[in-house]
Amino acid sequence: MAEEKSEGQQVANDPADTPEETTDLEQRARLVRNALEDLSADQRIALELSFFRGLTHIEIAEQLNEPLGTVKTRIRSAMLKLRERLRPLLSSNS
Amino acid sequence: MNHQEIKDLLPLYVLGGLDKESVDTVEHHLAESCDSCTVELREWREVTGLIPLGFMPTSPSATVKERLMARVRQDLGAKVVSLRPRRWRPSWVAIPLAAAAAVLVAIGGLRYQEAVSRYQEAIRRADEESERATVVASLLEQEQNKVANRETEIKQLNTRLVEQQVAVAEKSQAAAQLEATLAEQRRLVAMREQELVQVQRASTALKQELERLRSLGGGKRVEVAAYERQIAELRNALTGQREVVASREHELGELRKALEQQTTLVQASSREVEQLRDALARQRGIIEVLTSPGLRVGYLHRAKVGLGTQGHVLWNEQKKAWLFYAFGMPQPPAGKEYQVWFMTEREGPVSAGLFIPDQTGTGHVLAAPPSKLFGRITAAAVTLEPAGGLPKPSGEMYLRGSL
Repeated sequence: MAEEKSEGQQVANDPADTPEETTDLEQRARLVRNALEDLSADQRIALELSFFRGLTHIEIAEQLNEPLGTVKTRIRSAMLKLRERLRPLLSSNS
Repeated sequence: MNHQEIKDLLPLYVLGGLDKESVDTVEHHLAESCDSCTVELREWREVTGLIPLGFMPTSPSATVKERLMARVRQDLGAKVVSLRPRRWRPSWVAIPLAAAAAVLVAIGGLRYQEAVSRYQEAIRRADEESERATVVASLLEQEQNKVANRETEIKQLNTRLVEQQVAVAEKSQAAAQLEATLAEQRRLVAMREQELVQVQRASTALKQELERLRSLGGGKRVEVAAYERQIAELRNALTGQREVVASREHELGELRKALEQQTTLVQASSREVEQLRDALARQRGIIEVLTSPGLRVGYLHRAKVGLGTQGHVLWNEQKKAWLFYAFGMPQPPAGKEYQVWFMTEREGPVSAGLFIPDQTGTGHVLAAPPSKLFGRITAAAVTLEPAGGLPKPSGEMYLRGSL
């Protein structure tokens, strides 16, 4: 897990991301990307299956062979973490 | 379920995926107008709306791509090297999937082949998402270019407007001067006329005197001749003066006409600037919809075989605005236009606007659906209707898609 984090930081510091090329939109996109990268692998998988595949929690639990409660908790903590990290982009913040 | 338990369900509710019973519980609670949950729900919607933004394509260097792919290969083993994605996708898709496969293999609950097929599926999905992000990015670029063009146009128009205003000021000043000269000339004419009357009066008196003297014989004749010469000279001068006044009056008339034209030009330019400013504001609105949190993308597909048409619907819950784009639309026959429809369960189709595609077949509608419809629109469609549109669709369907 720690190894993955350092990988994420290398991506953010890549020379291709020079400040003069970044727009407001790109900055938002980067914030979202970094927030998603900071989720644990378990959380990401569950969130992904729910958001992009539109699976129900029961289906996700079956796919991952895990208890339903665990899946729900995982998605919920992923969302809580995202909300914390994306707080600067939310309208309630401005 | 108590209030706190329902509140805890909200992040799961916005993602979809809750069982029917929980969804009913949440919606029942929200319908009882729980303010704190409504606020919280809005925030969760914003968070979910931001997730696709994490897929905005940036241009990572080749080394980053290589590193990511090396990691994927390492995690999944040599067998899946051929599964390398055709193009780059956001890093977080690649890493968790690799990790996911590793986790699943470690659990032992799933076969290796299953992990590989899930990886393939995820690549396909990521391709779709990256395409979606590309669509948003390219639309955004188009709109931003339009804004830049509009701004240049406004700048040019403003310069022209200032030039015209200067010209009006100059002409007004010239007219004022001319008017002053004219008044002076008129005063001169009046003076001369008065002089003439006096001389004529003197001359008449002299003539009468002459008649009287003639009966007495000679004397004043020379004096009368001198007066008559003076009258002739005065008449000449007066004629000259009147000519000058007439020509000045003509000049003034011309100048007034020119001034009027110039003023009309200034008004037209001001109107044009106004219109461009409106257009610019609309354009900025579109960009705001495209860049604000909460942007969602939906696809419309051709409803008729053989057409190369497709459409995108982008909507932003926070901005309460919809953007509709259609591509590859054939030119409608004379007297017809394309009409865009929002489909709702209760009201059926509701018109969202009309468009005629440009030469490239691109059509474009910016709509703000009535707030009572927002959140209840389940699909969108495009039909061919008589120009001006109809309250309900009647013509052939060209595009449709659920949202």
